Amino acid sequence: MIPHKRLKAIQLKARIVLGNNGYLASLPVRPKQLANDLGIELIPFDPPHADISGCLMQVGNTFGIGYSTAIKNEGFQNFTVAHELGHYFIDDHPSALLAEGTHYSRSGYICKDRFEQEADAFAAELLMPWGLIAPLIRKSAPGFPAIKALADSCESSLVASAIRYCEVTDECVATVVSHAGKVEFMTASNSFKQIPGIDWLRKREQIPFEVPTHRLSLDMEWVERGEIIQEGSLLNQWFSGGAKQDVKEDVVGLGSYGRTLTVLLTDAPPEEEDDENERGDDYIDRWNEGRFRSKNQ
Amino acid sequence: MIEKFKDRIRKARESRGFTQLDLAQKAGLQAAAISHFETGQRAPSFDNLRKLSDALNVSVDYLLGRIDEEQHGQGIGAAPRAKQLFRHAENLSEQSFDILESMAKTLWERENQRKGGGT
Repeated sequence: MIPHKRLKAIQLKARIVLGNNGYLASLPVRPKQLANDLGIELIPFDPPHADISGCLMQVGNTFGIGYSTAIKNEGFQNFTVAHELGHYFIDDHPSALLAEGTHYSRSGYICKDRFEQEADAFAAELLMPWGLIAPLIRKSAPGFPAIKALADSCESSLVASAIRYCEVTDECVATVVSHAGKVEFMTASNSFKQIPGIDWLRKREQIPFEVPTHRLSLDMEWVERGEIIQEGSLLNQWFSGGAKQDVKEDVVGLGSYGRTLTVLLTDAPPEEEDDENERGDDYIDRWNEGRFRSKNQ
Repeated sequence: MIEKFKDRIRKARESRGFTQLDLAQKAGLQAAAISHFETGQRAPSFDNLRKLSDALNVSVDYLLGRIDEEQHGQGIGAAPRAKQLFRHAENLSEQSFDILESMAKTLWERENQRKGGGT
């Protein structure tokens, strides 16, 4: 987790870069154009293995960003380029990352070290600056429609838009990215994190059999087609400690990425059920720091 | 790296007779940033390094302490030894190595064009 002060400094840096380059007036921000404007060479490549999604390279005083075109999604490529711009602009990254000449990044949202998380935070603010997305979120229906509006307006991927949406929304929403019936990662809004009895869905954990996402994420043809299904489930089907409470479950196939994005939208918990050990700031901090108890405890 | 950087930037600035304010203005940075770099209070970004190296007419690698001459000599670059330069390179497939090597060569050609030299 990035310390709060450092995160704010990184987000401010992204906004300064946008302002200095004339990108604060409207969406979308085009990171490839920005890299060109900065004199950074852009080099697309198509790797046969999924072991590299992007890289920042320095040769003398010439800089280049390589990005994979293996995933045919402009939003994914935009996020990759924005992420590498993060490594270029954030203080302290040269000594840590480029001491040997090149830094390369893998796609995904899991097991990232501090520098990867910082570059992601920069990319999210660069592509989806708060000042420009706030009005967009306000006028969209909550949940998947707002995420789709972000992705369309910002030309970002649905996954990046879902993560960003969970960071900024007041709605009670969580998103789960899964592959072949197993969780890859989960993000949730602060409001969702305060629902009593909710445990974090961990990487490689089985998606519960009774929810629509389980069936759909196993159907690779459906995932490939990039379809969207709006269904419903119960909170306690997803989280055994949760209440028997309706959840709106939107499931999206992510095409050649091979993953499924699920958006869970439900009602915020009533405020009177406060338990000082399990709610409030301490409760949210435990989520943010990954200190949540496991389900079998 | 930071220890070398703070010494190199001060040395390059003083040898050109620049004050910290002079260098800040040439590089488009704030004067306080130069002071922070030279005292080691702040580690630079690559963007900072590029602006500083352009303002001082030295190589980024010199500021980073990776070479001892202010400029690369002709023919010395990343491309010929690309495999040794990649972080965590042992985790990459041979094909991805080839992609990165090709990219390094492209950038080296751009670097030589930028400097007005040959390959």
